[in-house]
Amino acid sequence: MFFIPGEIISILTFPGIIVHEFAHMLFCRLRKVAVFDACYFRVGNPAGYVIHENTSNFYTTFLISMGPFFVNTLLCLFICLPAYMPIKFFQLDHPLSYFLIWLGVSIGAHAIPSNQDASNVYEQAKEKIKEKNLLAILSFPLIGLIYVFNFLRFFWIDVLYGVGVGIGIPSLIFK
Amino acid sequence: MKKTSCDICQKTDVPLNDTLKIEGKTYCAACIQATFPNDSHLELENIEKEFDPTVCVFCEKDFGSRHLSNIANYPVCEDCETDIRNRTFPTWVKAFLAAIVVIVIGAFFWNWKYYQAYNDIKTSNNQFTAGFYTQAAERMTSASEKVPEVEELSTLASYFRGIARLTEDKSAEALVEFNQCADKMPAEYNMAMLINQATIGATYDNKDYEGFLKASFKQLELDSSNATFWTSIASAYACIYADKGDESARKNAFLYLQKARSIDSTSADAREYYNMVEYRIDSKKIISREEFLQQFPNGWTKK
Repeated sequence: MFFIPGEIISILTFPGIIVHEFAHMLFCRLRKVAVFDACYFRVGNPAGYVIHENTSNFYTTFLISMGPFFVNTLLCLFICLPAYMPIKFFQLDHPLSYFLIWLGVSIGAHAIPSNQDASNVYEQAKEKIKEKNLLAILSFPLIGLIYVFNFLRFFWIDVLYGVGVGIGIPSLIFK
Repeated sequence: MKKTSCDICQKTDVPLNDTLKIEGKTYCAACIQATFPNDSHLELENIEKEFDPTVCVFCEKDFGSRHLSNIANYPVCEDCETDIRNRTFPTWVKAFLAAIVVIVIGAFFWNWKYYQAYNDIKTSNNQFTAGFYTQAAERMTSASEKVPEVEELSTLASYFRGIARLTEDKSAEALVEFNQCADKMPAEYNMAMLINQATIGATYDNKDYEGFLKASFKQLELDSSNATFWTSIASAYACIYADKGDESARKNAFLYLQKARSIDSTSADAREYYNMVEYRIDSKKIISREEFLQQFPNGWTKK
């Protein structure tokens, strides 16, 4: 495992950052949450952000925080799925297919929400779980997974996640 | 605008927004700079920022003594609140996302033929395994037409069509298909054997009995342990005898029948084939297997 600065990874996978922040912003808009500032991509740390008001509505917090996880994952799959078949099954090396795989994996690589997002959900989920809220119960393993993924980011687990969704899932579907 | 006093330099009339509360003490901007010249000095301190409720934090407009409404503890004027609540995506982000959507939809349409071809191939292989050769050939042909750039598919389609034509007793057509794909098929597909089989059928159909004999000998060279291949030579000799009345051909026909019997004298298929050749020699009539079975459903017996 060799070290590559995060900024280079960010530049190489910039579509994923834009989509990630777009998803945060989209759910803020849908849930009518005020957004103070938003940056969709920059060379720096963080590479993108959306600063919004806090909300006491657990569902809103969940959607805003976990939005990128669902949006990026689905987009990754939908972009890679059409490109997978000509490359893998028919051994056709079309540049468009490789472009789609790069785009899809880049988007998938930024699906994992930040620890801050996980923490926002956790704070409200631990209260909601007392009311036996189903979403709160389901969110706990997800939160745990997010912390683990963020811990393993050094080992490129986020990129591996993108590869797993973009290439692993199609290979399971089309054996 | 609200004003306060600095706990460090005791200066009064300091705008509230220009101060910070550090460890409970109010600092003006100058005292913060003097006490904490580097940001790192502030890292371990307990810092509070108190916002002036009469000044909008976004446009910094002073509203005198009027208290503004808060969004997440920030005093915000009506105009800025409208902007914040209706903040929209920048044009370039909209364009970027639109491009992604177009790419996703376009990619699905562009690559749809590969998915159809994949489905055709799967279905075709299943039909071939189940013995539905004609249907299998149609699906494989359909797959190769959808993805003409994949040469292996057109080769496989030729092979499937060849097998289908062979089972339909259209040997000449099968031969054309096999000749098209023979050079490109892997060895385990035994193309030489199939080509020969198709040649035997085609020559028989064309009443080219010398060609039939030649192809039957070639088949025997490929596998001499198969009784059917010995019978095929006997059959070819029987045809020549029936066609030209060549006595040596008759003798050879019996000779090869005898050899075939020494390999397999029990199986029903083999015995049916021997019976058909014997009928041909005896009657000097050349009829197809179907006609023979129709005329003699219980087999032919010499009277």
